[in-house]
Amino acid sequence: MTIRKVLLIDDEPDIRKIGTLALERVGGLEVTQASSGVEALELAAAAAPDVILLDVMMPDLDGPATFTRLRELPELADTPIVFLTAKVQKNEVERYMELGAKGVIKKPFDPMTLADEVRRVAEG
Amino acid sequence: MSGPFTDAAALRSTLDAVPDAVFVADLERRVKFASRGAERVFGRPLEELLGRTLRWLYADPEEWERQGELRFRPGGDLPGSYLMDYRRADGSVFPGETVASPLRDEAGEQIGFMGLIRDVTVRERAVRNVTRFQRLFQVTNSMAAIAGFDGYFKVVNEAWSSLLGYSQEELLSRPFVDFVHPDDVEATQRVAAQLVLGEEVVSFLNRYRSLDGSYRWLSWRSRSDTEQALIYAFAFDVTEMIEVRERLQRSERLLSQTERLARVGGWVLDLPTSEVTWSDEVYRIHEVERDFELTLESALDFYPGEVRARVRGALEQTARGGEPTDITVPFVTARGRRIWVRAQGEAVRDEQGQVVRLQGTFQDVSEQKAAETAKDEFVSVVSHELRTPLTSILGSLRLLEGGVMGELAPEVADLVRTARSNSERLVRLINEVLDLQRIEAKLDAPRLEVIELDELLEACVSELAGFAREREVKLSVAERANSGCVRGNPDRLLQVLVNLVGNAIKFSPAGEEVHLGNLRRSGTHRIEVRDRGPGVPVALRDTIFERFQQADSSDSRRASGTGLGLAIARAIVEQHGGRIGVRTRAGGGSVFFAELPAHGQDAEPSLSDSSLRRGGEVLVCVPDPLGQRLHSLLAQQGFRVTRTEDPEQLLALAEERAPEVVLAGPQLDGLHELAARLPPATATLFVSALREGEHATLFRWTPEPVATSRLVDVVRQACSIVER
Repeated sequence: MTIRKVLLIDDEPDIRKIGTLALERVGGLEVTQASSGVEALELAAAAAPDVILLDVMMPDLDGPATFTRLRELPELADTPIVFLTAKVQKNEVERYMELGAKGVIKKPFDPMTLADEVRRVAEG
Repeated sequence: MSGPFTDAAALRSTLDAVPDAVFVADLERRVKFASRGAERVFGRPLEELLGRTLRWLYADPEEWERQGELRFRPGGDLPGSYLMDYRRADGSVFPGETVASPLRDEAGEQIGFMGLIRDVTVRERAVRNVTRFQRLFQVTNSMAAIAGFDGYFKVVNEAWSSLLGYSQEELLSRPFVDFVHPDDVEATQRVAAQLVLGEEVVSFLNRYRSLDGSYRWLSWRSRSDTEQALIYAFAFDVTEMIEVRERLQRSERLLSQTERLARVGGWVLDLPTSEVTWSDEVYRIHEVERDFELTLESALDFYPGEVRARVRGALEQTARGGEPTDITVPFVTARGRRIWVRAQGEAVRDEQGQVVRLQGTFQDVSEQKAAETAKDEFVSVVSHELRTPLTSILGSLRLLEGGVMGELAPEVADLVRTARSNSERLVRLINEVLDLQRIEAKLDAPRLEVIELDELLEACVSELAGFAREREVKLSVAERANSGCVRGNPDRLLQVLVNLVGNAIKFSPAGEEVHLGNLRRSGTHRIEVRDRGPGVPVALRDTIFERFQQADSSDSRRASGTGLGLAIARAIVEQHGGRIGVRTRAGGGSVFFAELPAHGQDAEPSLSDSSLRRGGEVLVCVPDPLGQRLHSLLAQQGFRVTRTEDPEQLLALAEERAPEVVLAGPQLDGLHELAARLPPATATLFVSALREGEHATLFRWTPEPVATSRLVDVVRQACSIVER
């Protein structure tokens, strides 16, 4: 399937800004932003993303918890979820994959290639 | 006043009850009163005794002249007791122990004598009999003694004098308790009382003071003869035994305290019987008492569910002669506390090489575990907190540089590029600092796998092939030669090789070659990276592996590195029990090497291996004529031999030639220090004797001395080289 719409979940406004620029201006994708796991759960179904980029370290509902709740939404049951995180030690990555993540993109990411990376991981 | 104490009749009957002869004599020494006991002692009716002089009772009148006259002298004070021979009615003579004192009237005027005579025939016979056994008595090493119920030794043998230093006369002249340690007097008197009652005493211990004031521990075996009123005793000097026992107890206490402080205990598992032995600390960690019913099964029960199988599996593997056990696992104490323990163990073999028991250490590592977890957490948080702002900085710069916000003026573009490349360097630096932190904190240590060296080398080459092409450097690797295995963390070891080879490529001039090779020798794999770069100055050979050390700080290539690559490589190699180093390559350039312990069969070379027949590189640092002789002997056998007598040159040659064996003579001072500076894969043979037929001690190879004639075999064994 073709990736067109991305849901970007990160509590850091600057990361959301860079990420959105990278995905929209460089990658030509359509981005919906969420600043927390709770917000993401509210707007995810309506946004109907083709892929979800999910931060790990977030207050209240962290990445893995958000992941589990997103998976419970019937509309998003098959949507690939990719972790976008600086926490990429081997055991951490293993934990994301066990949860059922499609893949992991590590921070800092290169905005010039982020969209390609997202497509590669989500479609791979 | 009347009563039993003053009534003459009562007094009389009391005196009559005494078995000995009680008498009163006037100043003429005529017997004026005698008790019934006197009838028994002298065998005469009282009437015959009354009015007789004491002289008449003596067996030998001359003896009376010598002793009696002197003692029974008016005005004399008759001290102590003395032994005298008396005659009975039937003419027989008996030894009588005599005690006497002056008798005075109410005005204090002496009016006569009173005294007591005891028949001591039986006792004296016994004492005299001893003389018959005198020889035996004197030659025995143990101390023999006969003591009276009166508290005096009657006879002691020579061993007493030689042990305590007193003369026999001194020993007999004072009550024996006078010689006993004040703390032991009471117990000694108690035991003496038992003996007087006829009980036998075995293994009684007390201390006797010797002439020099020191005390000796004596262990007694005594028996008495109540009829003779004598104690027969043997004493053994057990001072040393007791001191040894006390020392042992002290060191056991010390061990127990040390264990408790260090929180490390020891255990033994005997294999044929499955019998388990624990030290005190192991009991403490389990929170059980000494009377805990200890079996292998009851010991394993402390491990929760699946951990138990892991522990059992590790022990079984070690018991089969495999890897030593080293596991850190959760554990539940007898009181239900959840802790972490580390158990280490190794196999102990008998002379036939059979594993007969496992022994090892056991420790509570809960605190370390908690600290590790905290550190892990910290590393993870710091990593995240630093990378998040960097993601925004680097992302912004990349977007600008990429022209996403519009074309940049050339000067702006240049500044943005500078900012971007330095941000990237900062990211690398953070990654590597955290990496080093993790390695040094041993957070990655548990992942150990058996790794094929050939595969490791190939993985490194494929990772860096692109970089080499970019730099126009030829990257070659030794042919796949089934080189063997090491045990470790594959990602980390690959990181070491990538660091070393990456450096070599970075510092090589275009057109040159970087070669990656693998040497195997006894118990060790040596991976070498050879380049034709500028080389490492001798002065920097040690410090280059420290953090933030680079050979030439003005070098433009420095900018691309973080200064942590070699520090990380060293930390990883050392964590794998290996060693990292660099030497100058003949013809220019460097050889960086990492030595790792070989795994499995590689670890033990044997003489039967045909590859051992090939010669190796040997450095001989032994004075002539033995040096010359060893040289020709080894050269004949196909070894490459280099000779020197200068220790500094020896080290330089060892760096350059990487010999398998160094033969070092006794003229070298500080041989141990010297050997420590040699590459660890070098077997250093210490040739201690310079004459043929004498022995050479092999240092760091086997502790056995080796005859010079066998030296070639030993050198060959040390040179267990497979590939050069």
